[in-house]
Amino acid sequence: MKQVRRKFVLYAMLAVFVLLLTILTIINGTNFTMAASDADAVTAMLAENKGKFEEAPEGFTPNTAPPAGTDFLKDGAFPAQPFFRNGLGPMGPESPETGFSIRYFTVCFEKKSGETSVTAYQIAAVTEEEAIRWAEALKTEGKKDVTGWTRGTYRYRCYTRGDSVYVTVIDQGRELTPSYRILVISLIGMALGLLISFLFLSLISKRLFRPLEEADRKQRQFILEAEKEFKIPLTVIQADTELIERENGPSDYTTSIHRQVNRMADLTKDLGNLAIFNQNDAVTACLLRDVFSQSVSGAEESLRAAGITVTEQYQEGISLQANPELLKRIADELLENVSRFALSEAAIRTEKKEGRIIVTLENDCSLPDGSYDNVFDRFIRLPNAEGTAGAGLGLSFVKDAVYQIGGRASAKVEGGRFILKLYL
Amino acid sequence: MKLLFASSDRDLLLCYGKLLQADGRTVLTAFDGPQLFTQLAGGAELVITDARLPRLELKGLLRFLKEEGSAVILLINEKKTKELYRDLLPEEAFLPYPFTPFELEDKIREILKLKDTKAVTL
Repeated sequence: MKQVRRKFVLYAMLAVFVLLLTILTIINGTNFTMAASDADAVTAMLAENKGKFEEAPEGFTPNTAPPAGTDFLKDGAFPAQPFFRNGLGPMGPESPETGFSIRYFTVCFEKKSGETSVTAYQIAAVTEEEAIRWAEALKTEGKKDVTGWTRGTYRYRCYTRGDSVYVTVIDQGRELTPSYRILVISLIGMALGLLISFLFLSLISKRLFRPLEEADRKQRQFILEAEKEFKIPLTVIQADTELIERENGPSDYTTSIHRQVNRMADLTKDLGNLAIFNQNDAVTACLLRDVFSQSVSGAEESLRAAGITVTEQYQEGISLQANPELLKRIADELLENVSRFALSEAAIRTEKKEGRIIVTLENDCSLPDGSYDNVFDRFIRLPNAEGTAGAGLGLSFVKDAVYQIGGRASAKVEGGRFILKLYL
Repeated sequence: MKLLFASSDRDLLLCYGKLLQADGRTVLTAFDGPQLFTQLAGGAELVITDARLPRLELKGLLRFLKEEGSAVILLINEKKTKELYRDLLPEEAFLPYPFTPFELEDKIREILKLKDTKAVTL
């Protein structure tokens, strides 16, 4: 349940992160796009006049006050001036103030004569020679104007008018400062937001999951107690059945009792397995060679009784961080499967491929070729299991336990061999 | 041979009290700690007891039986119990539930053989 809670916090944090990132991207993306658009409007205005601002018409007084009684809401903030394109006053790139506030230069490259000249120069940060070199680097020839950012905060436009190519570069440093501030503030805000979300989620998830953790603990406790309490009655039933057989001889009924008791005993053992793999017991580095060779030794008697030989091939030094008890039970379950269903021989192999540990258990069988991943479903028994003990929970436990330690399992039959692989 | 079978489950006592009587054995039964010690007064070569027998201090019993030279089979319900008594009993002395009469008979033969081997070694 702790893992589930951690996953919940992780996925919730991911959702918050994606949401905040989306909002930040929209805001800052729009902000910078609008800044670029405003800058392009200025360079477009300059391009219309070959890289210079239009001269004010004769008689134009820039600081004309509106006439007395002007209704600002009705007539606009300032009276319409033919010089102002949109009739608005000092707003946006088309403001009459723009010409006085923008720092810029324009370099002209005449195609015919090959001459280069600075046709407009209203900037202190760049010398004229530097401006020419800069424009040379940006110059492109084509029908369409080319715009872009250069040297961080400068916006340029390269355009062809007549036989000349012009490059106009305007300094947008001052205009971009607020945008950068918004970017930095929003990133800080995002980081703070994520931290607060993490703390809040960690706190709330504990309260949220407490009833679930309690229910899970009670369920496991119940399963463990039930498993223990079933065992003595099963022992008594088996003993009583044996006594009946000794006194009256075996019968179909006593054979049936033995069969059902064995089935109950297997179910009880599987119940115990199901309860154990959810426990958060200590995790240590386990050498797979040791785990599986011990299980093979443990199953030696039942394998010998079934006439099955097992060959073992372990790649040296393969170890896995896992609960040793859990790994042992996985190995025991697999060997029990082999002892029940292999015909005469089996092989067990551990290897490391591309950073992944692969445990392969294969044995001869009478099943047709194909994928048998459904063998890991609960209570599923393959056709070759008829007449053998088992409730169909063993491999289901293996799959769940392997998943618990971050791996997966697969099963198939190829050329008369049942091949079970664990990817850990 | 005298054998003592102890369990708090009366049905288990009943059926194994009878089942173990084969081969001329004398089978004594006990359902709790005090009764076990009462039965032990007459001596027993082998004691088969549930690890959770009521009113029994198991470690004390195991030490006593070790001194007396009696063999023990401990019937356990969970693997944890094995860890608790590993230093007092050999690996072969533990028999987990559920078990069949044949498994118990096999265990009895195994533990008595082990006892004889140790006696020969001593």
